[in-house]
Amino acid sequence: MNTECFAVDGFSPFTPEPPRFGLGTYTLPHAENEKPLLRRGFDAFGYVLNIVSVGWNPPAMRTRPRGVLTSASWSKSRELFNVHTLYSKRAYNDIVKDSCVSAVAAILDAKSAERLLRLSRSENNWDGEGGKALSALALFNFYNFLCQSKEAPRSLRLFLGADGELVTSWDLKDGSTIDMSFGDHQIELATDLYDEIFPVGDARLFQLISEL
Amino acid sequence: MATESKPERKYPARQVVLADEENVLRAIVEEEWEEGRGSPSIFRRTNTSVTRMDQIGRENAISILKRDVEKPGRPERELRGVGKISVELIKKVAATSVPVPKPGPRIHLQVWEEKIDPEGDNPGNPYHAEIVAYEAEDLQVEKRGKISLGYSRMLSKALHVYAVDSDGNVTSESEPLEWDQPDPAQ
Repeated sequence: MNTECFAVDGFSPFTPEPPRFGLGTYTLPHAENEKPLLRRGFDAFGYVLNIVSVGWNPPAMRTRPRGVLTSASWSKSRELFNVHTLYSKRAYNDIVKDSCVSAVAAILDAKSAERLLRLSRSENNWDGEGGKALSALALFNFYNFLCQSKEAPRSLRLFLGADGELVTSWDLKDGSTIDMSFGDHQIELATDLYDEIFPVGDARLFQLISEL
Repeated sequence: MATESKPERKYPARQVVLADEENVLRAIVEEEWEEGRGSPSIFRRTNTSVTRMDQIGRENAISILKRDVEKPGRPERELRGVGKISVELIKKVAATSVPVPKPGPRIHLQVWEEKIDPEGDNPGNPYHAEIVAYEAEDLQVEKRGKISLGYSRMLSKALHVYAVDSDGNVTSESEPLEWDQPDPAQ
């Protein structure tokens, strides 16, 4: 595990333990059967909690300390809810996204980092056909993927997907390419021989890539 | 591609199928463009907008795509290239099995004329068409969910890609890549 991945702007992680691959570390109960709006709220909390757990240091916590997060996840939820109320939803999402972009860009080469920054600036309907802006959660899943990967992708190419996915393409040792699409809840992989979808956190993804 | 208004309701959409030999152009914007080619995910939608190149010529088709993509008020939108593909090749790619150990559902594609009539500030596009994915070969039920990354990747590779500059002039081109890999199991 590359622990350097968890240092964002020199900030130490809240927890000494590395995060598990993907999300789900803090799955709040009752979310599955609730209404979509509530579900979205839970999802937002879910990814913020995970980002905090790997070292994200929201500006609100720097300038307006509201107490130390306890180890209990419910206490974390309440604390973050207070932070949430300080910002409009748009500003809040932008902060999360910018933090994710910074974290990922820090472990990419200059060209890829610049490209990622460009993609992150695209707004909804970037293609005139309703394409969604880059998802912070998708970015976070890519970040986790890079941290778990044994070697950095070679000749990385980055694209934006219609639903806000981060689409990647790079060259394999045999000269062929591997394409991946990092979404909010799943990661898709396509090569000349494979066309598969993995839930976020599925270790089989790394097993497959190691065999390519 | 890139039409911000829906097709005119009174227009009898999806009644005219494009001939197999016809070529269409798929617009490729900045977010889908790297190193002279398009993203592997540009065909993931179950209906992908294209423009009928053979009816008006490549340059005119590019002009329409630029006009539709680079709308006033959206300066960040930039057409970087277009991908040419024949209807026949679209169907051929869809009919190809991806040689995977766990193959996903096959796709079935049809290309329909889908004119867009002028409306307000929108000048329309009488050469607009759509690549539509269906659940089964009878083309009765449109596919739910997205086209898999594997099939989208094959379609993207099959494109003959033209890079265009800010004036819409073609500056370079890239031949179709090898999209049909032999199944090692055979």
